Amino acid sequence: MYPLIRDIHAYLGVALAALLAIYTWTGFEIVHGGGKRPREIARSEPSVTPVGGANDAIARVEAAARAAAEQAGLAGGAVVRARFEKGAWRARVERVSQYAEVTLTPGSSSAEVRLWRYPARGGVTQLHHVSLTDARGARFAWAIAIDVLSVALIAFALTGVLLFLALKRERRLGWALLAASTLYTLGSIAHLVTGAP
Amino acid sequence: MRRWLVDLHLYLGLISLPYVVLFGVSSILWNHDVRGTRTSEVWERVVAAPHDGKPRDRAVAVRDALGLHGLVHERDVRQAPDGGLRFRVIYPARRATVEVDATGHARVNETYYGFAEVIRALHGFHGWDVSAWGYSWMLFTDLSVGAFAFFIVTGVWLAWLRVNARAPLLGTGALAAVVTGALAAWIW
Repeated sequence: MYPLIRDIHAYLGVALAALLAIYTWTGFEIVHGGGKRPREIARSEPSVTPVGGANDAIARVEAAARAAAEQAGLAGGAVVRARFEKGAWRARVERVSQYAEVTLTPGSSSAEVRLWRYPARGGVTQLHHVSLTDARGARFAWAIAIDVLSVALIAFALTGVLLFLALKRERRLGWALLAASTLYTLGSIAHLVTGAP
Repeated sequence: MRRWLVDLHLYLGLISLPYVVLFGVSSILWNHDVRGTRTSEVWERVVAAPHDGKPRDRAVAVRDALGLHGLVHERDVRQAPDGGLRFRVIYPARRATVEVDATGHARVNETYYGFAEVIRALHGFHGWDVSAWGYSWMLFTDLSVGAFAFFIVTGVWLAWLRVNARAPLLGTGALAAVVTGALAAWIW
């Protein structure tokens, strides 16, 4: 049993090391890095198939927004959200390192597109924010990888505990550390749930 | 050296284990945008509200007098014509909107965003040093994130030391790293 658990822990670890490294670094950057703001790199008014007003089908609007973004230089982006606001459709078509803000006026055969790009470190940090809720195509594959990483993290912890239990040497320090951190974490959760000081 | 590093890998692992599990669960909640059930409560109390000083400082004094804890942003503080204040108090998974008039009569609308939001909020929670707990969780986060980096390095090194399994282990890691890099480049 011990060799099996050790192999699971080891293979999960090496298989996900690269992804975990990305998320560790980008997480650290998000918390400590102060944010890397994007800068606008281009504006254009590409031709589009006119869209309707507030009642137009979202799929049509998203297709028009995606086509406009592609003409503006952003290929293969995933539309994150389109909303009707102040008399026009406003959509954001995203890749990780850059995105396009698209404005579609009902009945107009051209769109307003503003293209934004993150600096290199900022772009990598944006990988941290890709989630299943907005994901299509390649972003969906990345978001699924995050689910796999999340489950693997739990598996690391559990297999790590089993490996610890299999140790034949003195384990009191380990138990003390595990108990202290577990009590602290559960206490933190209780603090937030109850609102008690 | 090997024994020392294995022990450190082990003990750091045990210290950060609850954080790792919490991180895994909270990542799933974030990835699937799972939210908690929101509940609100409105209550009123009379407190000694200061009339002098900067608005934010006055808001913080009222917050403390009401027994609330959390962050008060300067941008969230509004002054009323009668000298009262309206402000928000922000804490993980909780928000409170406070309206206090010049006589010190305060009306508090507290919202709790549910258990799922608590778990989501703990994901990398950092920088809110308005409470001793907040500061300690900040340190625990930094320790655990540092531990992740340590696990990756020592884990790969430990894989290298397993002579009989070195090739399949490191081969798996290399292949996975290439796939990860290719996927990141694809969505870049």
